[in-house]
Amino acid sequence: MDGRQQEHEDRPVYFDNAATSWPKPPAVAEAVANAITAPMGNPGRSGHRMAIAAGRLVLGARDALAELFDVDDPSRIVLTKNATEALNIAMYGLLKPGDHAITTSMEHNSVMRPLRDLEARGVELTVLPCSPEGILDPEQVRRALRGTTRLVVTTHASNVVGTLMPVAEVAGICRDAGVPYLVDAAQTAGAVPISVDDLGLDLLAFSGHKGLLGPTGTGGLYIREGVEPGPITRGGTGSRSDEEVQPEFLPDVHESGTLNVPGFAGLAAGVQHLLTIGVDRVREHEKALLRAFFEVAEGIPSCRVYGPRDPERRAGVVAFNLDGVSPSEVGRVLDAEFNVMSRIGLHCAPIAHRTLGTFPDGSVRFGWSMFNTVDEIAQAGEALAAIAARAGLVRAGGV
Amino acid sequence: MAALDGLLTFFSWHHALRAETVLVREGFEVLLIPAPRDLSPNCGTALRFGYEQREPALAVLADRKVRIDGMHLYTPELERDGPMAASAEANGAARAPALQPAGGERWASWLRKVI
Repeated sequence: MDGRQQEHEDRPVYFDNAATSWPKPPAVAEAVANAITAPMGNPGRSGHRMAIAAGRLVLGARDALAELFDVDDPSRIVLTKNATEALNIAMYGLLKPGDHAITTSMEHNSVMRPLRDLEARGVELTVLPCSPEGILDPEQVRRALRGTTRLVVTTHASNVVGTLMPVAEVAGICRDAGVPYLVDAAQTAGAVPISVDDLGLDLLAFSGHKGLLGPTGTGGLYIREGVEPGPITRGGTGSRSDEEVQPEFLPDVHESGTLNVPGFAGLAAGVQHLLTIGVDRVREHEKALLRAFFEVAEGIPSCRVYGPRDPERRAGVVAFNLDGVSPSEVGRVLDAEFNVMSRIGLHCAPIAHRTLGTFPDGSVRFGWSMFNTVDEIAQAGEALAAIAARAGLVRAGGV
Repeated sequence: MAALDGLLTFFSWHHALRAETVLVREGFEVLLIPAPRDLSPNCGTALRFGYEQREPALAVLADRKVRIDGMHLYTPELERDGPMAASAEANGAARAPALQPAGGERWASWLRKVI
């Protein structure tokens, strides 16, 4: 035995869709393979039919995303390598020293780290405290606005406890104040219906590889007309090639260099799959999974679940701990013994764990997709009960 | 299987995975696990190894320029037997079994005896 992870014969119970989704619909793998094997060039760089073929694939992704998010003009969707890059474009593109920004105490580090860096460079930052369940009162945003506020950023749903933020209300407050509102939809794109017009937000950052079922290496940023973040990367765009300055129009201004063509071919297939099924059906399914999990957790007295109990108030992500055993140990045994994949620790969101009261040890996190089942939740429940019983014995043994 | 009673911790998962590759190539028995937070605040992945082999292992890692954060003696939380374990057993409590890979069946039958 070389010590590598024992291969499990059974299909894993994959409860880490909040990190990346698995499995992907079969059409996604086919699209990725096709984008590599079919005659394809570099989109937008040459006029020959192979480059155009690649360009059509990328446009297919943009069009599918525009349909999913209810965006009129697909050019307003910038394709990025992940949600983190999209968030960086929005924050570094809109904020300069002397500006004021507002965010919440439930954000992922892909929001907090840029904001803390900008703060160190002279941006004033207000972090609105959320309740221990991760709930934000939108009135806090109104009270925090100043004449110098240039951006409000919130998550759509916490990547730790799944608590949904009052996006429509915050968008209304920001619109009244004339302040752009950036929403981090990494956990909700493809899992919770999003219409950029119904919600009234200005910037939407999303992952391609979680709820949208695309491969890793994909993400994007929707930018409403009238909001103009400056570019954070500059380079060749296949446009205005006579000039040595970055073009100002979308999407080229934010898309320098060659795009991940196979990735976006796959993302297009993932989004098409969602459009066929309907995101509202995915939402109903994930609410059913939440209800099943709460029931299972009730049966384990030492299981402490964080966040709101009402599935209407949360996305398909749960954070919990078992009394008397560290989250890393629960995760280790779930993987090694029970073939259940979870994410343990601080989930790149230390501030969220401070809000929840689980800092610095963090928690165990389950994140679901449309491919998870109630049976899998029952199976994980048995695993947790066994681990909890084991922990009780170890304590009785005098550790 | 030798006791994997040592634990290497790292600054990043990149270093953890490199360490695994490098040590396996040199014939060491190792196992990647989620890092216990009290031992590894920096990175979520740690590497179990045989503590008695720490000198040659560290030499290999240094030679291959793999950065490590720390090295510890280690027993998984749920495999620790405290001083009271013997008397608990005498009182009829089942002795918790050592970690067994893919042991769902064995785990379930042990659990039935306990609860």
